[in-house]
Amino acid sequence: MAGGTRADARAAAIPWYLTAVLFASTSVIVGVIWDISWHQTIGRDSFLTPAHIAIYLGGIAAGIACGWLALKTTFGGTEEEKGRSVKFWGFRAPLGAWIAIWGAFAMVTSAPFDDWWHNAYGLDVEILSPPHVVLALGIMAIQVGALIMALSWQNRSGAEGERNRRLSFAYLYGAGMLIATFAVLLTEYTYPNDMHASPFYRVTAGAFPLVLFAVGRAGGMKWSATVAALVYSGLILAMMWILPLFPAEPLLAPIRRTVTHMVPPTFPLLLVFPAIAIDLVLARTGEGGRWKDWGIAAVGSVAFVLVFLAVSWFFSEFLLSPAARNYVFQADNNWPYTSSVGGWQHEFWNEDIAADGRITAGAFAAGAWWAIPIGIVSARAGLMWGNWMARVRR
Amino acid sequence: MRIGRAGILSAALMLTTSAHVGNRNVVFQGEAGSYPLTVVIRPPEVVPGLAEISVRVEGEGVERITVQPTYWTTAPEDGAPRPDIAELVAGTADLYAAELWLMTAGAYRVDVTVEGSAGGGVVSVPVTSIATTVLDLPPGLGWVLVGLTLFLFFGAITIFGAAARESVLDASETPDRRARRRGWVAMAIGGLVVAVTAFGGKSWWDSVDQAARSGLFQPLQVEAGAGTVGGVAVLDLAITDPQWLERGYSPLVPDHGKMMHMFVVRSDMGAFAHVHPVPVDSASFRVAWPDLPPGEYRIYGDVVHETGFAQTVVDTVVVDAEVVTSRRESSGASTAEPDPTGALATIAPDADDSAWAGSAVAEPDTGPAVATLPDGSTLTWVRDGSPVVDEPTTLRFEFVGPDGSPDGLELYMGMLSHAAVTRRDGAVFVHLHPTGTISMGSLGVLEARAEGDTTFRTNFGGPQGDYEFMRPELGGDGGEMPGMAGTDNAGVVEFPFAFPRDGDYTIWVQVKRGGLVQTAAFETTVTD
Repeated sequence: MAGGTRADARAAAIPWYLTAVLFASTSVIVGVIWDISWHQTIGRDSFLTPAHIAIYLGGIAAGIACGWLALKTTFGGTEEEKGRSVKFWGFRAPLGAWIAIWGAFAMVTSAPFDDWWHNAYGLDVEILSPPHVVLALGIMAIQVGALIMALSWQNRSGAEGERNRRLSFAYLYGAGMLIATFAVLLTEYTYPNDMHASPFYRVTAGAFPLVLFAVGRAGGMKWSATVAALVYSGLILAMMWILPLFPAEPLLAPIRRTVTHMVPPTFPLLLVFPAIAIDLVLARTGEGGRWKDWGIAAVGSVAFVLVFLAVSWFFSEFLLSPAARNYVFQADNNWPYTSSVGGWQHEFWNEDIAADGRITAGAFAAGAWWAIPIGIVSARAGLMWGNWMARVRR
Repeated sequence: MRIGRAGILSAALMLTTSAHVGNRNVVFQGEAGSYPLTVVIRPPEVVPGLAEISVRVEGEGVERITVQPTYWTTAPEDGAPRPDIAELVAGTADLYAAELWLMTAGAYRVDVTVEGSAGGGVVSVPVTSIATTVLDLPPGLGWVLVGLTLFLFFGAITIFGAAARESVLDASETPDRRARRRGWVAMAIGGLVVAVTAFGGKSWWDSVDQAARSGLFQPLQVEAGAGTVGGVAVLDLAITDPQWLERGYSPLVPDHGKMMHMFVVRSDMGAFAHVHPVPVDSASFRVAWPDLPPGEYRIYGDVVHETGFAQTVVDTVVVDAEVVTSRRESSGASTAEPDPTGALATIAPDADDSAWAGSAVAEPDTGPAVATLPDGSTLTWVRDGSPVVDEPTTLRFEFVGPDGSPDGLELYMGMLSHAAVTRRDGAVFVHLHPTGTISMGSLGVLEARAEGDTTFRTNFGGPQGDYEFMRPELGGDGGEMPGMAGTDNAGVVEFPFAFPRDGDYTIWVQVKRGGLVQTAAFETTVTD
């Protein structure tokens, strides 16, 4: 802020509760990645592991900040503040705050449910279980709430300048956290070993065009989707480089491989490249429209799938090679103590089997082309979401 | 050959939960170095789940007690986590407790290490990890979850409505009719989406629940029948379990020299036998019917798999007078018929088989219960009040020969005594040793594996006594099994145990004197 006065600084600052929900958005996803690493490395856990604390701290921060905002707006808000809020059972607060509060309650619901689940069916070893999905919905609601709160400020202020720049970045930062949550939920389908098989392309085409097109359309900046993808990559890289610095050992039997440090996540998906393509498509096609958006979605889906296929196909070959087995790429260092050492670690897990039982390019193509129609639906839904987000003012 | 149809499994017998029937708790008594200790392990009801371990140590100078679980496929040096320290339980001087996760179904070995000034050591306790129950949702928690779910459901619908109605309006605007209608439409669609999602979630939950319930451990299905073969009364036991027939189970290994330890208990508790059926083929066992009267009998067969996994197969069989008569006439297992197939070799007499009929010694209000054995010796249950559910206790019996001397007990299958404990309705059955509830066969397998011996042993190799895989140290009545003498006091046999349920029980205690296995029976009532 060149030559800024204190008043300028205050005007340019983003509201504290927006900072709080962005912190919450970060804390929950950092906690989740940490917790997955914990289960892959140590195994034994309790309610009060640091990873669990990070997750619940996020929920508490979002719940308290937004709850306070709702009470203040309802009972002590100015006309202007009330005007930029929406009604919820007689209370008033910005829409994003309600979504984040809903998310905090979903997280609260998941805790006793999850605890009982472990007692009833045994400690889970998968990421996806009904209580974890309730938790994931809560986490995503907090992240979407943060996104919408940032957007409504940005959409209202409209002006150029430092504040707008900050709000834009706040929004794209929140979007990056949301992309990270999508990516973590899909972990079981997105190992480098999956990237020569068609399910990987169908699953990613279903998930990522949705969020990238929404972010790109609503962002109001030229490289919105790209910046959000960079934020996602930065978060995963940070976790991937930091976690293995900490020594840890498995505390549960049977132990099927030697693990001496926290197991990191795999290298981030190369979403930055299809995100550039999406930003270019959005920039070239300009204003949307109900039917025009179908066309944009079609072009965008083809662009996403082709670019993502090109980069993932070859990069995964690198990640499975000895050249990537180092600190920077952390390849082959992502296996939990529960999995036996084997050649499968360095192989592609190909699921595209032709009628004669062989793995063929034809079988891959037959499975992979479905990524395009799936991507069109995903992108079109993302544009719809983005169109609405671009107009959110409360 | 005529084989009577087996009875149908009674509902009570379906409660089988571990290597024993109706009993999950593992009680072990032994010595770690110079420290005598009792280990009680309460395995979890779900897998993965948390086992509770308590260790009571006698002796001075105990410094540290650790516990370490090892899964049967792995060796402790690479497959087990570092040992956990068992903490001294507050308010006690000699009781230590720890918790251990058992992550997978199957046989585990828990090593308990005592370090102390008197010289420490390690004992190994086999534990069978199986899922036995699915916990129901407690009503209180259920209502809390219903409340939160309703809040989330209506909250989500409200948010959908607010988003469509007013989120895109300027601060100064109020929603007009169109905006309000948009809100209602969004609430309807949103409500439908949330309802479908919730419904999908519930059916997912139901399918997980169903999978968990169908994955609960069931012992091998067997079918028992009594009949005559070549004029000799026999008891046949066929393994009918599809998983066994499709070779989905690992083979069986002998447990102190026997492929199966079978206990035969008449439903009224008036007759009992401990016999050792031998394999006829890979899915059937046969034994000469012991000298017992007709009636309905419960059959409990203890077997040990090559993985160290121990289980008890159960069935009910009705034995009619004809079978009993043919036994009396043939007086055991001799037969004049030619035996080209060798089938009759399977009913050769086994000196370790034994039978008892009569009525058990009723439980006196106070003081000891005394049973007289066939050769005039007595076995006295030295009681310390009535047993209490789940409380570790030592069942202590004192032997006095007809000459008034406590000497003269011989080792019976490697140990001073074997005991069987059964609840009157058959819902609990436990085979006890002086070391406790553990299966010696299971321990043998797990210890051999720990030493790196993973040799594949075929289970049905030849006639009884000639298995190439039979381990001499576990063999017949050759010698004393390590730690199996029970006690140094002459004539005293002790069994550590904790009764898993309340109710009326019968305890059969077997000792050997003058080459004869003799059985005493005691009744007791276990209170909650």
